[in-house]
Amino acid sequence: MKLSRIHENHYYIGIDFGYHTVSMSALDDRSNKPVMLDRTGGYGQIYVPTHMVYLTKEYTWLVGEEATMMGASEDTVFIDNLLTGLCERKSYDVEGVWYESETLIAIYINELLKHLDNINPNHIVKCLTLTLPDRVDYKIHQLLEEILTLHFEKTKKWKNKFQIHVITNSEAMLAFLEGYNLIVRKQCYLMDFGHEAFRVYDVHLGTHITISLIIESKALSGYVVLEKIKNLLSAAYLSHQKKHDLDEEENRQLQDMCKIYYAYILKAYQSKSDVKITYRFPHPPFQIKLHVSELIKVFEPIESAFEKKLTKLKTNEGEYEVMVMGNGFRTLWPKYHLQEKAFSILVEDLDAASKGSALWSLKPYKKKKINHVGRLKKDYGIMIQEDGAEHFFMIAQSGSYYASEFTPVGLVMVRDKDLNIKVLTKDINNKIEQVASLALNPSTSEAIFRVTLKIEFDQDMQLVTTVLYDDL
Amino acid sequence: MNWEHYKEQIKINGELEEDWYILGIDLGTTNSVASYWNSRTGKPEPIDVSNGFGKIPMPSVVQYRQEEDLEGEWVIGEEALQTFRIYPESTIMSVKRKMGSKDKIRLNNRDYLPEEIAAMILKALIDHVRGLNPKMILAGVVVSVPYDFDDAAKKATIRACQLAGLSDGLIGLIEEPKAGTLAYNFRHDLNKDEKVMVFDFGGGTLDITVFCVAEKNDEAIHLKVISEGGEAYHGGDHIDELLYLQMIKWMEEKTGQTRETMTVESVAELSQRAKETKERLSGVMNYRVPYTFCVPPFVQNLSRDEFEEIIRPFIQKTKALVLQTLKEGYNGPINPDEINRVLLEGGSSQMPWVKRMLGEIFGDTDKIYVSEQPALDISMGATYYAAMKLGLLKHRDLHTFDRQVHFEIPVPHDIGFEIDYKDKKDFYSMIKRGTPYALAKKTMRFTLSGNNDEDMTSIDLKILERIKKEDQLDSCKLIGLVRILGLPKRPKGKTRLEVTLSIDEMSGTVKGHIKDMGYSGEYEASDFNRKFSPNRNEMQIIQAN
Ligand SMILES: Nc1ncnc2c1ncn2[C@@H]1O[C@H](COP(=O)(O)OP(=O)(O)OP(=O)(O)O)[C@@H](O)[C@H]1O
Ligand SMILES: [Mg+2]
Repeated sequence: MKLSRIHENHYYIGIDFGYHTVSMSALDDRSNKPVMLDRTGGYGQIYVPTHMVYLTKEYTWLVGEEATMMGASEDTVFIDNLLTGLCERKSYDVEGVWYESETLIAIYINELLKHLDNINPNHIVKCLTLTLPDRVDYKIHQLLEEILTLHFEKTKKWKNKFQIHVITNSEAMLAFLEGYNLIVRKQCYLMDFGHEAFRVYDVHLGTHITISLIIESKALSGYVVLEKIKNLLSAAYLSHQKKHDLDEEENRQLQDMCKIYYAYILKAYQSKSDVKITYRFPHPPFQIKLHVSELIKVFEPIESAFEKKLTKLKTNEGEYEVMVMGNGFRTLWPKYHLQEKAFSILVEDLDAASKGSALWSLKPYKKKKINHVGRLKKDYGIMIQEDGAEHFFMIAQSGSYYASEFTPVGLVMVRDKDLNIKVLTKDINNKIEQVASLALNPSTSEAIFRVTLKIEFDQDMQLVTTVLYDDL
Repeated sequence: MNWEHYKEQIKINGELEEDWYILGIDLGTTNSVASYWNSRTGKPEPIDVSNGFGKIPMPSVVQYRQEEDLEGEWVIGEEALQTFRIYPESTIMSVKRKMGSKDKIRLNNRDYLPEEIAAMILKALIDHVRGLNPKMILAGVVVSVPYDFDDAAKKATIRACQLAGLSDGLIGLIEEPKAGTLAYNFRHDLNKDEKVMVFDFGGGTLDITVFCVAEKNDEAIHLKVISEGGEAYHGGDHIDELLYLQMIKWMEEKTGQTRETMTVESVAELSQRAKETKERLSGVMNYRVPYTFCVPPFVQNLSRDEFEEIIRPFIQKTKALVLQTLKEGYNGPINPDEINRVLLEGGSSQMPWVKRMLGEIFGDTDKIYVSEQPALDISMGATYYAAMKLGLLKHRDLHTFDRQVHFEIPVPHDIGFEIDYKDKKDFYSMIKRGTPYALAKKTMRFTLSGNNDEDMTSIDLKILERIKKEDQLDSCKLIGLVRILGLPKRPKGKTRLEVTLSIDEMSGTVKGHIKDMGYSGEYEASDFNRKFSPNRNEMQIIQAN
């Protein structure tokens, strides 16, 4: 049977909205398969930074690379970390008007979709599916769906109404697998080497699909790599200029340079060669050489940490296959380690999340088909004193996977008063219950002391707490 | 080895061997891209010179670095562009604009011809492809050239390919907008009789091509070029120059500093700034141009409107070139209403005035489509062309397209001789623009006349190309001079010669053929019968005896 062709003017859009970059795809009318849309036309990258800038004199928004470039200019309001802002329900003051994060994301997506006006002035959006990292709460999905719909209702794109879906990355991956008829195995791992963390999901396929997160490591992330690169560039700069500290302008310039040299440096590490760095912003500009040994010193620990994570996983002689996604896999070494450990790679399309959501636009799954197992049903946290009042402070959010890495919290305690920490849960009805009480035993004789509290969950989903006493 | 050899093999095997590579190369003024034919997907695949870490295209920049007491080093592409301000004197950009000229480029204590520099860019691209598969065997390479390149520039491009190590029989050329046309055809379903204008506005060149779908059925689609226009030396670089001159004026006004007192580094910086400013103004309405090298440093504000005012003559000329292309269709004038879509290619198309200007001409911006991948289309189209030439697109099992494609390419300029009519010299056209390549062959017989023995035994053929229809003899471009000596001695008016000019289908360059015909019964023809290939830079001398 032949699939009926999509009309040339009809667009089924998928957008992968990440912490760091956004990418967009659409179904190709000739093959019904998703293709990446590149608003730079091939001159740049298809990954659009999640930056936006408001030009206060021109009353316009710019997004992505253009926003990055204009960010430091006068008469602009620069906004980044849109997704983090959304999760934390932040609002932003733009020239005296307050914008919610979700509104900014709607504006951002509207700007991205303007690309369609260029490539096809007669286009009609039929459906738009946005995929967010799995960690993002389901409530946020609903909120974003509503806001996007409200936003687009006001634009001319709406003259032909369209559906808007917000789904998780793993849902998008499944749509991708189904779209390419790749669901043949019973189980596989989904590895996402993203900007924020390296994550491995255990996926069981069948009439019902279950997904659970089994590894999460923030130390192994695009973000950490970027920081390391920034440190390399800054150190070399300071030593050449014989300086100790960076001023604000230098800091910003180096930040920009990171984006340019990210690629070069990782490529040099990959081919184990030296790399030349040109500092164009100072007067006069100069060039230095980063020796490969310096690169190895920085990146090898990351590589071996990755390798160690893999040893935890079953390979099961090919029974378990791996789908890889995320730009972390652009460097070759992660794949090399996978092969070495005899994992077989089922899908290696770094854009599978974006493409999967375009496929979802054509054929949305029934949500209930996908089962996320091993997620927290309640928020976990503690009571803290702030401004004289006591309130619940969340450490692990409901909906997160048990295997997630939760950010530790630092606490200041009064020695004679706070001799235990109560770990609490809070459910949807704001009912608070105690789940653990940790007795403290400070060795200090000072009146106050500091501790760091870390919570984790073991394989049986039992709470594990760690308390560290910090020096003041 | 040549095209025919590989074509034959492919026909026998029914497929492309794993290590055989077919390449399409867009050797651009600003950016260059190579694509190869992926036989698994049946599509061209652009080579990402950054290996996925940056941008796919490679800046067409060649740099020679000579650090004290270190060995000299060639740097090509992105890094050369990034360090232009550090090595302004030994960084070569936009060499394409010099192709076909004898201009010398001095580097590393040596003079280089433009094609030698271009060869380094080609070689760097080919090395990237080899990185994919070290066992690569090249089975065919098509390099794109602007529609308006004259014969000498085309030949220089071929020479650059040879210098880059490609063997003669494997090199083909295609005109850029035609490559764009092909790429578009494979991505979109076009209807019969649909007319498309491809507007490719790059760093050096504006190329305009109008094609139509002459025939389409279940089996095949026949594309036919019905008009061509544009100009080989009209692109983003020229806008940069106009803006640069204005920026110098501002500097003189604000600081009293003059062009003469600027260092080479500052000149390099300012010219980079001009380009950057132009590009930024495509996205924003105002840009503040920093003059960091001036004492004291200052900032000049420039709005998009002011910018468009500075380049107004350029904009007007661009519009005139579009109108001319419509007017001078190969089968008569084309009405703007007849065009179904206008496809924008090339980096300079991103300037907002381009779309606005075309909207005015076509009365409707709904017809104006920006290509999905303007940076990559030309090289992908060149690859499609190479694959077609090798008979690869004949297989019906390629899932992405289901029809055979026929593409009729016409000769872009009039080609002929200078003829001496005693009182007046004039251009005599042999091959008319618009003639399909396959039919572009014309023979003429003429009789030698003269006053002395020398006149009667020798002849100079001055082969010319008329770029624009209205050009006079003195603005025709020389394709080459061929001097024939030692023809049989016969009385005045008793020697007849037959001269044939034709176009080499693979490269689009001019070749010829000359033959002695004797004189009807009176004098037997000698066996003089020779091929020639004219070359602008060197007169070809042929001894007939
Ligand atoms: N956003 C932009 N606004 C204006 N001009 C731009 C923009 N981006 C790129 N350009 C210009 O586009 C030109 C490069 O385009 P392109 O890569 O198509 O050229 P090319 O293929 O190398 O040249 P040609 O085809 O003429 O040989 C440069 O002049 C560059 O400044
Ligand atoms: Mg070009």
